[in-house]
Amino acid sequence: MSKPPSFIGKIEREHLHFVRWVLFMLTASEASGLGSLTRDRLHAMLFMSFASSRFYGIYPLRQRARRTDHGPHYRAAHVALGVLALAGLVDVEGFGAHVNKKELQFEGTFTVTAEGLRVATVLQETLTGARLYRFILDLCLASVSVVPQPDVASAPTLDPRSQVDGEMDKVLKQDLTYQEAIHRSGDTLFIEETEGDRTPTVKGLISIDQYLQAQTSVNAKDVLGAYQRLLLKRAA
Amino acid sequence: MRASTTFSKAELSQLNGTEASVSGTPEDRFLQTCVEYFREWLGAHATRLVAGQVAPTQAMVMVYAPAPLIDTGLDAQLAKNKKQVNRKLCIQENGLIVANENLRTMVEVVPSFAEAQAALDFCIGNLSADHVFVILLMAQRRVLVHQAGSDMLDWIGDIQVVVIPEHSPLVITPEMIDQTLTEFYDLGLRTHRGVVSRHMWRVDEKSVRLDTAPEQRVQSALLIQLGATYAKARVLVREEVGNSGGRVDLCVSRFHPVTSKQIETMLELKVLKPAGSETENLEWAQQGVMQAAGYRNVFTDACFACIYDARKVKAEMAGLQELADHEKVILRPYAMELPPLKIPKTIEKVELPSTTSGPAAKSQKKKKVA
Repeated sequence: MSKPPSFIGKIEREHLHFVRWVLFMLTASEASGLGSLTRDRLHAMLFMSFASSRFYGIYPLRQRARRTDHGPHYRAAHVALGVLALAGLVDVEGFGAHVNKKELQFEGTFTVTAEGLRVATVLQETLTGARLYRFILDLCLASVSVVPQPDVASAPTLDPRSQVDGEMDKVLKQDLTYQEAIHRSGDTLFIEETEGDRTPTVKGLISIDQYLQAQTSVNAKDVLGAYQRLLLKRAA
Repeated sequence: MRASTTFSKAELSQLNGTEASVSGTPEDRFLQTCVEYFREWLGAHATRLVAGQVAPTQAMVMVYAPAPLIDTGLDAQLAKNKKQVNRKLCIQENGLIVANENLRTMVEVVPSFAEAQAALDFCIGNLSADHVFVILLMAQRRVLVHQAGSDMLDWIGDIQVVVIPEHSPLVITPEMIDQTLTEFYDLGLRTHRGVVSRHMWRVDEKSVRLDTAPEQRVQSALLIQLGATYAKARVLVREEVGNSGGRVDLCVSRFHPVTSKQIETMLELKVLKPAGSETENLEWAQQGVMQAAGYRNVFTDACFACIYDARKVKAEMAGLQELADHEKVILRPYAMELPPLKIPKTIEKVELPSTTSGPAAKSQKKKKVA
């Protein structure tokens, strides 16, 4: 990998990468049919994406999250959301700040805008951007594939996507790495205790991949779907 | 009780019978999902169809947009009365729908068209070469396909049409796939005006060359053709490969109806370039054979190397057939006709005789096509 240019500092570069990851997550959520993401759902999906990214050969941006009463917390994600909202790439509804002396925390529902879609498309023109977006889109498509189809008969005018919320939360909470992390004490939710460790999520994905490849040809997206299907069964 | 952070054998066994989902680019996945929806609709409305209650000219347009609720990709005035609809009702059968790749988000923009011609005229007038869309002819079981990058006026000259057969074969053999490949080639690629090849060439007055990524264009068209023809198969694009080493492949995957055993037929696609040297093109074709052989696994019943030959001179490729025989690969060369150069336009200047009185003599330009 070539050395990054010296006029972009390490912190600024990591900040940009995080903003890109969050924008891709919101874009892929819309593109997959999951729709808008609440703050806590976004954080849970970021956690799962960091826990599983090495299955796609992608370096995760974070190896841990802060444990809070409101679920896993990434300060960088809050900053990224603010940047994206102020830039007009993301819309926010239901904004509300938590009182917290140590952390920047707020709630809201976030949706990518048309301009955000355009910028996300441009960011995919690099090899890294294309690979990263493909992974995050696959993750979202896998999530959509495992939640049951909305019951349209009882509420045909209701946005079908709101009916999948409960199932999504069950899947995210059952993530293998998250399950290991929440049962440890302390303020930190570990994804990789030592950088480069295989997370329980990656190990689980590899075991599924090996199992399925012995039966049929599948893509990595299908392995993500199978993984989330098993998590949903555990939650039942 | 704390859940285990590994999966047990019993848990993994719940994945038995897992099939791959639709694959390829988001646009490819959209097109395949439209065919799936059309099959669902044909099944749900079979009684009406048999009773002749669906007009032969009834048509529905489905247009791809990554996020239709955010941006339909259409003119704002057209989409001002859009309303969200739901695939599971299976009642969308007319008008124009904008949808994301898996049809989870569907937005109705036009409620209905009087008939298929009106739908086609609407598409010509309001969609662009960059739009990916299908026109479903509901009672005819036919799908008109428009891929991105196909000029609209050129597209209507000859449209890729896929048919959803009433009865899809239960057992799919390599011979049947071979026949489908031949039919696809005849309609799509044999001549330069074929429904696929007409969008693959860049021609000017001096040169004839292929557009970028010609294998991917063939792959996208073949993907939907195979998917529509074989309801009992899943046609898989190996997404992990990502064109590394120039691999462009398709896997026709299905379970045997009696034994439930997994069967896969592998296809590797190569397009030989008019601008390439004989050596380069031969090596490209040889790669196709070796890559096809490399896909073979315990499920494989046959491997095809489909060589679409767009060379100016279709010289014999020495040793290629022998290589394919040695690797047990079915070699299928398909000759592609090259388009002619564009005819240059010339301008002829014509001098009119001058007059001694009245207005000064003027030169008159006359355009003449040589």
